[in-house]
Amino acid sequence: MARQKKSKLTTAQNEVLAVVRGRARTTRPNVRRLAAFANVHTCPTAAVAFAAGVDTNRVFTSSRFEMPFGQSPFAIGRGIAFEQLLRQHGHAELRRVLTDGLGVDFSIAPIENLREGYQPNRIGLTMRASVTKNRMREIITGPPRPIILDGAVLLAEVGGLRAFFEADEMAIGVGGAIIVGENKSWPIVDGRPADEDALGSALDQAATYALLGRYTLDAIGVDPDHVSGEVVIVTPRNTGLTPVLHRQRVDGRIKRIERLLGSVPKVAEIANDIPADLTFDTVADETAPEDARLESFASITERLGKTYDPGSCLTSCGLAWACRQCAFSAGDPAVAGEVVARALPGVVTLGRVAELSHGAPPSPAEAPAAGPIARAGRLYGEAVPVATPSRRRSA
Amino acid sequence: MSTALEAFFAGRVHEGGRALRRTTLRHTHLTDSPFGIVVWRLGGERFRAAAVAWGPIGGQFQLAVAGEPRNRDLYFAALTPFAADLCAAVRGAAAHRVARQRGSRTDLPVNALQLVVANRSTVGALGLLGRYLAYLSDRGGVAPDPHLLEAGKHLRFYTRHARVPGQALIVPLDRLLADHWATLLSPLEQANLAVLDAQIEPPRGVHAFDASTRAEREAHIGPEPTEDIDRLTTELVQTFNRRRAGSVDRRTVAPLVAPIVEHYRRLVEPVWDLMARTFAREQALPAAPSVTRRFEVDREAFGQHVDWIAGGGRYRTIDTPRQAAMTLRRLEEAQSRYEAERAIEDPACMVPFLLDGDAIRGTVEKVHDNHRTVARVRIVQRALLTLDTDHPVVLPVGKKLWWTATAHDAPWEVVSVSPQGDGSRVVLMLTTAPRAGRLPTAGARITLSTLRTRSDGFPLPLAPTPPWTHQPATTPPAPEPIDAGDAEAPLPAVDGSAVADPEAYR
Amino acid sequence: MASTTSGPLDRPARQKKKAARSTERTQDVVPLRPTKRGSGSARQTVTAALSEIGVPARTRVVADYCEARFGEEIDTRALSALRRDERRAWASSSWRPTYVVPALEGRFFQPIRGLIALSDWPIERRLIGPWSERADHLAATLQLARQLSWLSDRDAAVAERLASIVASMARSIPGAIDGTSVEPSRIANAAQSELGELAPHDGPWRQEAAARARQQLSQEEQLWGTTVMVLGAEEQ
Repeated sequence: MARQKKSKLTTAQNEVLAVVRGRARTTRPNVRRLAAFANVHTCPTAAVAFAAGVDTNRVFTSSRFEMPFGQSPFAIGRGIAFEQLLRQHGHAELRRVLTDGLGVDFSIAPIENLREGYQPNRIGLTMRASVTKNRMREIITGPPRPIILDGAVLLAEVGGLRAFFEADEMAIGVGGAIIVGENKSWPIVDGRPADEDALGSALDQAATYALLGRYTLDAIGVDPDHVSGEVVIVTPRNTGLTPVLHRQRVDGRIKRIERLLGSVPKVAEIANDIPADLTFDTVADETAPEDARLESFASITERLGKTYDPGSCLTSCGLAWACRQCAFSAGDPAVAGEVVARALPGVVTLGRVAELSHGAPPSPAEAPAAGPIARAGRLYGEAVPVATPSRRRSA
Repeated sequence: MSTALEAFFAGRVHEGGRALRRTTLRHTHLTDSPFGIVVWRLGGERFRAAAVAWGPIGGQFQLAVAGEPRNRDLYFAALTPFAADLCAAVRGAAAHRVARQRGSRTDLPVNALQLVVANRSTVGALGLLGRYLAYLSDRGGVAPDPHLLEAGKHLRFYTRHARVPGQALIVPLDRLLADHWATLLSPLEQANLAVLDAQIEPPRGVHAFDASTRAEREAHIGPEPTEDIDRLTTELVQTFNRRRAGSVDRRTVAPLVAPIVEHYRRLVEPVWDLMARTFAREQALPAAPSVTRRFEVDREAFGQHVDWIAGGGRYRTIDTPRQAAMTLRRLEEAQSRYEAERAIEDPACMVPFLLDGDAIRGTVEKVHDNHRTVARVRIVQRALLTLDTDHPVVLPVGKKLWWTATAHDAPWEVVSVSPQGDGSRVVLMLTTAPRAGRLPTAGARITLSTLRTRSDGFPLPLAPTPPWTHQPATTPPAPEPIDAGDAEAPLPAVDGSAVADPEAYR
Repeated sequence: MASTTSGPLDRPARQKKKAARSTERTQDVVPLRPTKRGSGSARQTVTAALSEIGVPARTRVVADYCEARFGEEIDTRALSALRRDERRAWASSSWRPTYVVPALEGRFFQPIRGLIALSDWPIERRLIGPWSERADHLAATLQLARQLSWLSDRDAAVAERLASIVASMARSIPGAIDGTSVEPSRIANAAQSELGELAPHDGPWRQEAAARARQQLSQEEQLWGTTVMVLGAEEQ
């Protein structure tokens, strides 16, 4: 596993990033955002926004490009109540569920609650990370019994920037291994999670923690494989809140995320490459007309480049609706998804696809893609005779 | 799926500003009296339907709103009328049978109750609701209304049957539309029925894209509520709970629950209207012939299920590995057959196969019905077909293809392929006796493909969950009730603005 | 009958804010054709134009084509900015399906000023030899004449603008123009005929040059040529 070089940003680089941010609201990276960014990491605009700490969910606030996010208060209340239940009475439920699920007795395991008593700021996080690291280090001496860290914090580098990542719980010393746990409040019914998408997302997050845990061990000279490739998800069982544990191996996910994070460009490099006057300031300006905000966004993506794909972007990036609008206005085939985009090498716009489907003569560059499209047009025209008449594009 | 065809659709939809039909026929059976269901859940509560609307599509809906669906008494009191209606509708539809000589069954329901919902998420929501209701326990010595348990079993049957390709017992309209229309929407975007509908029928002068992005912002379909919707719900439920002060008495509760009923009525109405409109539009398209055959399979499963319920039967809730493998194979075969039938019966559905080289189309240059050839030892009479295609054909000699008009019958075998004009001249030989009905006429434009519908090649799938009593001796344990959580007090709602990181609870 | 459709769900604070903004929202009902964007679309237009022309072309011709075909004016400043931005975009960590690149001469593979192509074209098409400029000019004229023919029935306004470009390109082709009338089929035939004579020379030359290029040049040089380019304060 490659050691990560620590780097700090120069004043100039920090200034550039501040300009990029403008008045846009910011956010700190956490595992969910990291997992989401992994889905869109090839997009230069997303990379710049991520590097500058821009909260992409809030850039287009008060405009028609603001994507819905946020959760029902009932759902949030349920999540909070579940967490509280796990911790009540000296973490009784958490102990029970880990004992039942992992086959190791946690009933008298010491629990270090890192959520209590630490300052809710960077200092507190630094201390929690230090405690976490030390406890993890103790794995090599083989602690006499397992311990649980509630609210473990991992300090890791993403794109060359250090950030704190908070795990739900971490069980240390389970058969010589460290196991990462995630709490979720959607239920498991008949042994299966009720929601496959939510499970996938939770496993990605847990896998990201496991990966960061391995980086942490590696950085202190301990074999990273002490962090298990098996994670646990603690969820309620059926109705109500009684917890049950779901274990799953996530080696594939860890590999995938490691590959993706490895290709995240260093923030310092991004900062060096950003054109001097590039900024999200106008885009985030809620007093500006919506079209001016979109126009400003469009010029950012023109200059930096973007890789819009509905499959990845709509679930992972708050700029997706605006990006989609720009793609549509430009007639970019990407708006219809990657299947269509990949079918059209050499053809640049959907308008041109339509012309080729009506039999327009293709240039040498367009010929390979044009043949099948023209044929599709002829075959469809024969099968569905009352089709929409082709519109004449006026100048 | 043909990528060239998808690219073609994207270009044309972009140009024309409207969705394009993928088909000329309807490939899903739509009954005359479908039973519509709309569900709105309490956020994050997968077993709590805060509102259920039901009724005939195109007619009036009834609305069940518990007020506090986490309270068992209120919840059951609200759901019971829905459950009773569902049970009556199911039994009513199964009451009329017709005699049939095939297979192990001797009678088949004339019809089956068709459930119609707005989207696939609703199917999932009903499945969970069904699991909960089907095995309710007796809490505090009070047995729940038996209609609730029966309705739960019906819902479980329907939602499991949803997996069968080409089935029409439960129709999620988002899927129906996506199967029949080509839009500029990715699969994720298509999951919102209003968005799909907006691309199919945008307002005058508005491009499909603009119409659908607007629908995306404004239309809410459920079953999962947005933050804004449930902020309202939270206030209403808190007020309701405070005012009723623990009472579950109907007379006390009814006037207090009215504002919540109104809240959900406003959410249900646009969805209900949308469902009626989209259903009617798709129903207007003529049905493909095999729609009847597939619905017959549905009717058989439906009949079995109803008999089962009547006999007090039980279903396993978990597939054993062997069962799962059998089911998977049957589902794959059903999927192949469904795709074959669609393409054979509907020229628009054949287009991707033509583009991918799995089908050829051309004009019959001549048919020679008295070709003599040696089959094994005897000399037999065969027919030779000469077809001139528009597009070059690349197929090996000996390849078997079926003429769409005789896709249930014997194939033609490729004898030779040679260049002819822009396309090819293909000579094929019929692999069986050239009786009437098997031969196309000269001058006709025909299609041959690798698709066929011989019934012995496609065993009809039975209901995915074989009835318990068909298993040998040992009585299996009943699926356990999952309603233990009903005894827990409802959890306080917490607004996202009060929490440092609301996304952490997703 | 079912109850009538109600409007979008009334939401509290956010909705009020949005209502206030509705006067600024001009795009609720938009014309069927998506409106063109202002600045920043030069790249998109140039890429589309090159794709339709299909062979390396003079920037002037590309700009004229953009104006005739898409109604978008591309000035010289925009074009030189484009050249610089494309190179920088390629050098940075961003990725695009294609870049606007210079055509390259065939001996030392240096970029040719004023002649542009697309990076996703095979290198054969982007290399310029003794016959290539003429062959490309003929191929472009041929393609545009065919395009003109097809467009005449569908879009008279664009066809008219395109006709003057095709006419000026055809002037140097013997037999293409008869008097003052612009007949696309005549132009196409003339271009095709001369192209047929050049192709047996140009084709093999390009193949051989491409083989050499693939052997000698790095990935970057195969796209941008071998000259050291100075971008602002950076040096490669």
